[in-house]
Amino acid sequence: MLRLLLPLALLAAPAGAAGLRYAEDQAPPILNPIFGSTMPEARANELIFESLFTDNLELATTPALAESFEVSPDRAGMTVTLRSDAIWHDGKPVTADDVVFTIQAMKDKGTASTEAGRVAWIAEATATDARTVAIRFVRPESRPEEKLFFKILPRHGFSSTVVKRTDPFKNRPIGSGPYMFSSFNEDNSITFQKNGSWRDSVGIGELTMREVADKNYQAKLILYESLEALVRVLPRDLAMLQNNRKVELYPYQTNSWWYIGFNEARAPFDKTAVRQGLAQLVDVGNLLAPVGTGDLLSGPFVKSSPYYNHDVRPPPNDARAAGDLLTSAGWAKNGEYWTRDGHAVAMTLVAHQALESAQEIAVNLQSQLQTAGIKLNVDFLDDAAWRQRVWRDRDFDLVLSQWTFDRNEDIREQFHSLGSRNFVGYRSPEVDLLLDKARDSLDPFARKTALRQVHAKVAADQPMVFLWTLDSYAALSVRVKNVVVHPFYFFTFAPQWQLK
Amino acid sequence: MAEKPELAHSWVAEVVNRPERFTERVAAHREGWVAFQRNDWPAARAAGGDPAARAGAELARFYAVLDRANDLAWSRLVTRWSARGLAPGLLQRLADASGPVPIDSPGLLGSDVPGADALGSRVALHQQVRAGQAPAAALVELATRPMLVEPVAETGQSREIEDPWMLETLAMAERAALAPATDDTLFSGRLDGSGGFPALPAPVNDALADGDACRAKVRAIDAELDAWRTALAGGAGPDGRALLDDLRLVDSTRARALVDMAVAALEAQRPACALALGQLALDHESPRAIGPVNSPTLFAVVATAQLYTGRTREALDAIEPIRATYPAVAALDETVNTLVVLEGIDRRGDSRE
Repeated sequence: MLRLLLPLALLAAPAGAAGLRYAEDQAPPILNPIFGSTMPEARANELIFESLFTDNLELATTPALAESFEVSPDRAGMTVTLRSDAIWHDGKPVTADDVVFTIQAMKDKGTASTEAGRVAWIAEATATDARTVAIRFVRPESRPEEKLFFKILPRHGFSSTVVKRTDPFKNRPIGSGPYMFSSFNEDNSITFQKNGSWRDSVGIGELTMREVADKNYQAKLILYESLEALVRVLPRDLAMLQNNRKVELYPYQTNSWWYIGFNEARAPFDKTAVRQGLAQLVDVGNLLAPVGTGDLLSGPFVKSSPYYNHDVRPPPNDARAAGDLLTSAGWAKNGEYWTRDGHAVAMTLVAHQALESAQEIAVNLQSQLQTAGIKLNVDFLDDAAWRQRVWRDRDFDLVLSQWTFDRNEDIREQFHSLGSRNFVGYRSPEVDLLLDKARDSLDPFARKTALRQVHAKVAADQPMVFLWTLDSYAALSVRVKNVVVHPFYFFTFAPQWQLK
Repeated sequence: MAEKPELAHSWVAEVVNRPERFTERVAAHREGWVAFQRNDWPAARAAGGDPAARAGAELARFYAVLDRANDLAWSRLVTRWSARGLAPGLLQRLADASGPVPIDSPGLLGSDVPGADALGSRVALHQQVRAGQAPAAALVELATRPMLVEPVAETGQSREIEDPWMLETLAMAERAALAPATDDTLFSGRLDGSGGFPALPAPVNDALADGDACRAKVRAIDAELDAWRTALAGGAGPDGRALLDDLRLVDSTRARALVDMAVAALEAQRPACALALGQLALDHESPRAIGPVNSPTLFAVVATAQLYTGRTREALDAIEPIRATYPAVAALDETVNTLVVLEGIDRRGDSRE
């Protein structure tokens, strides 16, 4: 009933004459970029916060909070001078101390920032005056400005560099970006007001993020003009929206892929043969059919990626070969069911409840494994349980989820043994070496080769069943003009959007 | 909105209103027309006759558009390469040798570099194809392998350098082989009886506004086509209605018209407009596949416009669907791959759930 009432309430919402309303499957639970791990958070943070450098319309690096910078001749450090007109939403000036604080907070182990990897290359940052930051690198850097894309936080918003997810800042974030956080609303929506003091003009006065958990309703809401933007359209809604003259589709690239991950820290998923065998029991094409059209993948990159290794094929859906692999791992078929150590094999799959189409995929997978003789339990987790069980406790057998990458497609955090997003516990010295080599290489040919080798090795080790990539389309009302969508952060160019 | 009188005289109207005449038109080369309608140009060309001639013209344009993308990718790759201060190697020398007629430059790289012999024979083959002395297929056969492989002592690996002239030579070869088609309107983007295309809106200086202007133009075209589709279906008999739906006549004609406009926009140096037109032409029901609505040139236009607008990584998404059918695209794909890696080589990636 709640599912029905919520969209009806949204339909009744007055049309936003001066504002733009966009839908997210789930509202960001907190607004603090130091802990950002989801796309809804990344999009909201893009409105509120700024980094030292950002992308311009041609996606080239351009100063944002920085006014100028200078790299030392030995390339071991740099100084960054901040803009004199940069101010926080509460009116205080943005200072070098804020930049230093942000870097220290991200590096502070007590913070446990999901973004810590983005400052690992910085050895030390110091404020030399109110507007100048001196940054010393761990090793020489060629173009350090290209790495200064993380969001800057106000020092005065926190009591120490040990930042907690529960700090009050999460509910009243202070940024310096084109939009100011206005309110968390009772219907889980979030309102952002235009920052009138921002250095450039901002076209749309108010933005509202509406949580519409049932993605099936999102397309209807934009057709009924109860929304002006959908950040991601369900594949099955594309044709309907394409044929509607009040809406325009904007394809954009997100480099997303779906996967079923195995918890390698837990038996029996620590055995490669088990993972490979289970992978061959899954009919991926059949899982994809109800979701939409997409490319089936053989590894951790989308097919159009420079790093996709086209010589690697997805594992075949082959019950016989799967049986041989499972048998080699000590499993036995007892009647219709697989057993291990004399017990019927059963496993639990977890998925975030906000993951689109997760229910269809999980039920289909359940049915496929049941037919093969394996019982699969499914737990759909809310955000708190997801963080606890998957990210913190790693309490799962299988995990169904997706990863979205910016155009650098850096999979290091997911597959390096020290990676902060490697919750499946994948460990391969060979892959670690290749990832290090790829990161350190300045020759694009060498990086391409190393990451294609990573693709092959990861595919062979099968820490995940790599599923598919789907096309990403935004839908915007034709009333929204000057639209350019950033391929990852979505709202980078939102200040230029106009609502007619 | 009322149906425009010109549309009533278009080839689509004739197919729907006089299906028997359509049957006569395609009778001689039925398989070829079926392939041409699906934008399967290799099959259409193999079938001979008008479909072959039309497919040849489409291929010439397709390769010409991709050659534009190739030039841009090479130029950006070399500029970045130099700015990055990387060891110059063959890539730089190859680019330095490029000029208006690079293929004719004798001793392009000199004989002191690895691969000079391989390069010499590749250049010779290009010249033969351009002179009509060798089939283009001989070049295409080599397309999925790098032209030169340069060992790099510092990395212990090698740089694979793609053929920079592949698409230019193929465009020239296709143009040279062009044959006139008797039936040049069937399955075209010509929307009226006189064989006209919709014109581009007047250019706007600002790229964002130009994109919006071209989107507005498409909305106006769509309003006319919506009315037309209704009128066509209402006036057609059962056979005509079946053809209208089965062949997706309005959708595919719309897409062809938008692609024609997008090519014109690229030629007029209006990439934001070309990108808007290309994106609006795409069949979102099967966005990664060539079909009656999505022609290879549509993907080529989108890729080229993406490159012009700085969306290098996104250009790869548009190149991917044509790579499998057209092996010659592999060289461009790998060059853009390298450019994408180079453009992001100093960045720290971001990823989210």
